[in-house]
Amino acid sequence: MNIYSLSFKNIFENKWRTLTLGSFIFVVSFLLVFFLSFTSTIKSNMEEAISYVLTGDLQIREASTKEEDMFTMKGDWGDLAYLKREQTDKVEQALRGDEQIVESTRLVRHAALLSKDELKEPSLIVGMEPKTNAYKKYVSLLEGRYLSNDRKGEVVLPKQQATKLGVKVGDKINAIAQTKDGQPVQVPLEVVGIGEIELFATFAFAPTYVDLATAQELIGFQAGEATDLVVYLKDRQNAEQELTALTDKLAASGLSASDVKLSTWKDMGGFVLSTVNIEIMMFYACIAILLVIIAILITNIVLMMGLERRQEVGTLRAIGFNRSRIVQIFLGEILLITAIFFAIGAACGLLVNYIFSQVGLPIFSPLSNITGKMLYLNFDVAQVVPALLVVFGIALLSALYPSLKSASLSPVEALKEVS
Amino acid sequence: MATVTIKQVEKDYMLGKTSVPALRGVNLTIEAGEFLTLAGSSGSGKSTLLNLIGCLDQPTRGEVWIGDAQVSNLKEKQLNFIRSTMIGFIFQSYNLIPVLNVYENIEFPLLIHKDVSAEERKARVTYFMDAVGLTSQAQKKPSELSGGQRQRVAVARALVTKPSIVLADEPTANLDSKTGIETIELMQEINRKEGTTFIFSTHDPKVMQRADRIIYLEDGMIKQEEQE
Repeated sequence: MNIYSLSFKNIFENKWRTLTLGSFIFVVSFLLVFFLSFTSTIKSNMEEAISYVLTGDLQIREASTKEEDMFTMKGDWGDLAYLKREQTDKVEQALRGDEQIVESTRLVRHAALLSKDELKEPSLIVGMEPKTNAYKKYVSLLEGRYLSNDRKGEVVLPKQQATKLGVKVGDKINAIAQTKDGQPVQVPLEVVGIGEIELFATFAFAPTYVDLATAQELIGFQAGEATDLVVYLKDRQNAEQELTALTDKLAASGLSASDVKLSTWKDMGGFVLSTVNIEIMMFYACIAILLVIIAILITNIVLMMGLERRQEVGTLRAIGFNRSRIVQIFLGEILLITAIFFAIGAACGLLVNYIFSQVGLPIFSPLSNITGKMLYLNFDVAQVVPALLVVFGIALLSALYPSLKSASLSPVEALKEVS
Repeated sequence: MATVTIKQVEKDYMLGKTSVPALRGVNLTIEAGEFLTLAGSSGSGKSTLLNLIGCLDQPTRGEVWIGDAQVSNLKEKQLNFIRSTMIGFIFQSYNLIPVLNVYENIEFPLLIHKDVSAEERKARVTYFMDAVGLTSQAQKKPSELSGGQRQRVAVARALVTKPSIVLADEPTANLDSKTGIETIELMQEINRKEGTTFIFSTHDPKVMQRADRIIYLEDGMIKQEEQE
C-alpha cells in the first residue's frame, strides 16, 4: 500500500462524486478528441482546396502583381502584368526533373462576361492546360464532365452561373472580354460540365474553367504567355523549402525577384485561411466554455471533499502527514478520475473519428459551406496528445487551490470540528 | 530524563476580539513510561494541554519540551517529524479513515516512514493488530466494527510507529463503561509491556482510577495531583 491507495479507494467509495466528475471529464475528452480531428480536417481540406482550385502549392507570377489580386472579385487580377513566353519557358525548365512536383500548369486568369441570348453574367475565367488534374478534386461535377485533353472551346461552369444563364451541359454560350490591348473579343464556348466548389461557398469564389488556349484568346496572349504558373507538390507542407530552392534555380537561369514573384499557398490563401481560422476559433470557444465549467466543477468538488474530510485531514496532520502529502492524496484522486474517464472519452472520440474517416460525416448548411456536404475526418491517434494535455492541465490546475486550502487547515481546527 | 516538560505554559484563544485563556501558567513534568490522566470538567483545559504536548498547537507563552526539543521553537517540518515518530494519537471519535480496512488503517501512519521496509511494516501491523485482538477483523471497514473495536484499531494505529508518547483525548467518551474500561486496560497492558508513555484525558472517575497519576485541571490551571 502507498498513500495513493487512499485516493484510489476514495474514488470507488464515493461513486456518485466520481461519476459526476467523470462524466464531465468524459464529455470534454470526447469532444476535444473529436473536434481536434474535425477542425484539423476542415483546415487541411480548405488548405488543399485553396491550392487545388486557385493557387497551386507554389505560384510564380509577374513581379508587380499582388497576393490579394487572387481574391478580388473585380476580375481584373493579373491585369496587364503577365509572364512572357521566355519567362514561362525558363520557369518550366527550372521545374523539370524536380521529384517533389506532382504537376504544374500555366494559368491565364481573366475577367469575362458569359452570355446566353440576352443574359449576361460576369465571370472569373481560369484557363489551364487541359491535362491538369488538381482542380478536379474540389470542383464537384453536378452534371457533364471535366475539360478534355484535346479540345478547345470547352467550359466547366459553376452551378450558380449555369443557373443564372439557364444553361445545361451541351449548350453553347459566349465569353466576351477585352484583350490586354483593349480590343473586344468574343469566343464561343460549349458547356461540358457544371460543378460547384462546396468549400468555397462562403466566399462566393466561382471560377469558370476553360482550356488555356481559349483563355489566352480572351486576353490576347500569345502561345506560352500566362498570368501565372502554378505548381502542385507531393507534400504541401514543404512549400517554403521548395520555394527557396526554386528561387535559386530561377535566379541561376536569369529570372530574379524583379522579374517574377514566387508565393506559397499560405501567402495566397491567407484571407481564406484566416476566415476559416475564425470559424475554427468559434468551435474552440465553445470547448473553452465547457472547460471553464469543468474547472469550476472540479474546484467545487475538491472544496467539498476538503469539507467532508476535515476529520481525515486533521487526523493525517496529527499523525505526521505534511501539507504536500495531503495535497498529493487529493490531487491523486482527481487525476485518477481524470485518467480513467479521459481514457474512456478519448477512446470513444477516436472510435467516432475512425468511423467518420471511413464512412464520412454528413454536414448540413451553413457549416457545409466550409466543410463540404460530406466530411471524411483525418484519423490520427496523435490528436489524443493535445487533448490529454488540456484535460489533465485543467484538472490539475482547478484541483490545486482547493487541495492546498484543505491541506492548510490547522490540525487542531480540523479535529475540533468532530470532537 | 523527562519525556514531557511543561514550563509556565499559557494558551489564549481569540473569541472575536476577546482573548479567552484556556491554560494559565501550567507547569508539569511527565516521566517516560508513565500512565497519566488529565482529569477535569469540560473547558478545564485538558484538550488544549494535550494539543500542546502533541505539537498540534503552540502555547501563547511558556515552553513545551518533548525530550530535549523545545517544540515552541520548531518549524512545521520538524513538528511533523516529531508527530510522526515520537507521538501517537487516539481520538474520542476514533478518527479512522472510513475507506480503509482495519489492516490499512493501522498501516497508514507507517507509509510516510521511508526507513520502515514493507516487511517491517507488515510485521508491525500484524503484531499490533494481534495485540489489540483484531486479527480476525483485518479486512473489515470501520463501519463494520463496534465502537470498542474501532477504538482498538485507533490504539493499534497510535502504537504502530512505536512512539514514546501516546496521547488520548477522551478515548472512552463514546464507549459504554465496560468497553471503556477494557480499552483503558488494553492501553495499560501496552504501557506495562512496551514502556510507552500514555497521557489521556477523561472526566470519568472509573477510568481515571486506572491511571498511575492523575492531574486535575480547573479553569486552565492544575488544581490537584494524585499519585497512585
